[in-house]
Amino acid sequence: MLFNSFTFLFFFIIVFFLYWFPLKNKTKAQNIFILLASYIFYAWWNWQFLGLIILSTIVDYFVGNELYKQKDIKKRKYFLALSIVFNLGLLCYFKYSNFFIENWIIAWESIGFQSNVTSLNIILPVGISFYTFQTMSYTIDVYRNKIKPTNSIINFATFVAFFPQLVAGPIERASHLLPQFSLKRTFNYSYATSGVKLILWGLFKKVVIADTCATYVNVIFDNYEVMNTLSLILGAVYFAFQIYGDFSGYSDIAIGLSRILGFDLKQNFNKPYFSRNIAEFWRRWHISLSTWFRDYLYIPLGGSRGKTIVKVRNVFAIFLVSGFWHGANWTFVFWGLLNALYFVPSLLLNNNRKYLDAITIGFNRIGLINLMNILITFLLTILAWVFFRANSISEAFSYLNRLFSNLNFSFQYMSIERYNFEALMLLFFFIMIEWFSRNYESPFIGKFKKVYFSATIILIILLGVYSKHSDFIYFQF
Amino acid sequence: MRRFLKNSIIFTVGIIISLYFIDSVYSKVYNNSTPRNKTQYILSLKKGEKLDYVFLGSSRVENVIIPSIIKELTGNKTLNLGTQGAKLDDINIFLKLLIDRQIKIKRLFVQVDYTYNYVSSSDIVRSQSLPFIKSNSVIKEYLKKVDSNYYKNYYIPFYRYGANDYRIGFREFIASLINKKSTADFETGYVPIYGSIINNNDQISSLPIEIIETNKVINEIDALCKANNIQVTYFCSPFCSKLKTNNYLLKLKSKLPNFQDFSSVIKEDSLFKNCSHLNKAGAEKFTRHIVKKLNL
Repeated sequence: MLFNSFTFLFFFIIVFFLYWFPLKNKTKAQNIFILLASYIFYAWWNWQFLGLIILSTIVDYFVGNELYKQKDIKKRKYFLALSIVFNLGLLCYFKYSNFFIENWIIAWESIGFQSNVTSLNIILPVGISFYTFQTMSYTIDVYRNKIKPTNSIINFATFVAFFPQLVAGPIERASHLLPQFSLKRTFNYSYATSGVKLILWGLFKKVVIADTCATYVNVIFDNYEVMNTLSLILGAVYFAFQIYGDFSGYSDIAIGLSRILGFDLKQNFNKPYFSRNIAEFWRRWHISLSTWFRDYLYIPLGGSRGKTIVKVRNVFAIFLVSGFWHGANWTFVFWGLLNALYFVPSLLLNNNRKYLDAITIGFNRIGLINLMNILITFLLTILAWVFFRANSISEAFSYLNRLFSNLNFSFQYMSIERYNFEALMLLFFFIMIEWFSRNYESPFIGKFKKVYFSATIILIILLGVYSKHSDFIYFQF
Repeated sequence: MRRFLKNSIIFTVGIIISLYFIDSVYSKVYNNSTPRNKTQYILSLKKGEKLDYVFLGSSRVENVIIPSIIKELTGNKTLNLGTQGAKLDDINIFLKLLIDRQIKIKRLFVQVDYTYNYVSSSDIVRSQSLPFIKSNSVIKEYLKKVDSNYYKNYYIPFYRYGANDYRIGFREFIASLINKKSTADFETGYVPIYGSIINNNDQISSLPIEIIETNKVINEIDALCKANNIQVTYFCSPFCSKLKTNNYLLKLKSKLPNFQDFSSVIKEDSLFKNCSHLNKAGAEKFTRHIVKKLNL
């Protein structure tokens, strides 16, 4: 059930009316209802994997309560290990089994042996990377005594399976979302309308920006051997906006839907392509995952304290793991590695905490430097995205090799019956909107907000890509 | 909550009105613009116009038959209505539209090969017909038969344009609005393709081993031609030397007495773009060949 489908629209309308009318002021009943709705939402994709979510919920609920009861440090460690091993075990089995098996076979073959191991026929359950990380953060926080465990399995199960963010985040923390299930929800008009605005803007980013870019990206990456330099540059730029529109669009819709139901989810993207260095980019891109790795991996490893070598090691660890989290392919690991290489200079020069202020570009020296920094950061980012999008590392290098050697900058007519540059107009328009609304969560601001809102609806109708219904990219992670 | 619901209703009604409005604007433009595909071209033909020869089929007609050569050699007016991806149901609708426009056709040539085994239509012709679903009864009936989304396309405003945005969406709408000429020349209908099979690694396939008993669309085409006094000839366009024919065309010949097998008349593979499509030089040679063989 995709957010950009009629099925979901009908589903949500039913949820909305039942939630706010017959169940109004009945917090417990509302939670049970959201839980059932979430399970239906998930089962719509594949009911067989619902058992995994329920299992993960039961294990972590039990572990959370045991951790709270236990005073013995060894036993507490044992329970924490149980939660981590269970969740990572699920993730490893469903997401990484074939990757490890295939690499095992390649390793043996490279030294002249034949391996009898064969790859398994495993389907990746949607959202597994998200909900396992969410439940793990709960048990770790209970272990660290940062939060008290909940004594309501319904609330906990709803926290794990909350449908707006179940399959592609944002990855919520128990300290933020879980207490909201215990509070009485009253409908708030301005909060709900802010949700509608986010949904609309998210939909625009998905069906207009991401899906339009996808049309070009697919043909350029699939036929890179016959593309010229301009097409290859544009292919990388389009992919940057495809993945941004797709994922931030999904996050905006998730946050918006939650607000209509009276919940607050954390911001997941904050105009990342206006970042002035890579450290700032990672404070603005997939914030819920970056902060997860920061809090549960980077800081426990020592963070940016200690010897330089330790700091550098920690940076590489967090980026390599982050890359691997995205998918069982060396391309993602390489993407993580590149980002680590980009990040290390900021760390060594101690300017990774620079640029915490709002972004401005004026007609002065600082303004120009900011503009240059934004462009350089964007170029570095799109270079890394080539590895993220390519099917293999060698394919990514071939893509870049052709990009730098072909040097033909003509407008190329492609098999999709469009010129390579055609989506640029749309992107320019989008970048302008993003820039002028960079300090707000949606562009529906100012005196003409109703006009902008109406115009966005019309643009979604006119420019949206509906014929090739594209799944959200992050579903595969 | 009341305010939220009130605004939601206004918002929904606004969207529905917008959808109706945009749908009518799109339809108006497509109904009145310069033809940009063959469906539009047929609908733009003058009622009662006379054509000597009409060729119907897929890209194996569109890229293969050159009407200007036939005109030059015979002086007869010829129209190539081959369309990329067209199947027998699409050929049938084109014929019905021509008859509906009261076009007088002396001889009709229909390309048939493995398509004989299928009763199906192409999404290209289907989507190009959608703007006329309400204005043309022939197209309406055709879509009712072949389009699984017929009711959504007919009753939900703008659905047909949204769901087929790749072919009749905003980009095509703007091109039609400004009367942008198509790259194809509809006066003749021939679309050349270039390149040679030698330079590409074409996947060579084979024709089916089995043939179906009867094809109801072919029967319908036969009946239509008989009723309208059109002489119909079925034919198979050339294939390269590497294609495995599995005696399929012999079986086809037994089903269609007026069938002409041209599958192996072009011997040089260099005249093919790929195994099923002649390049421009191949199309020229083949067109000259059929002028003689079909006594045009």
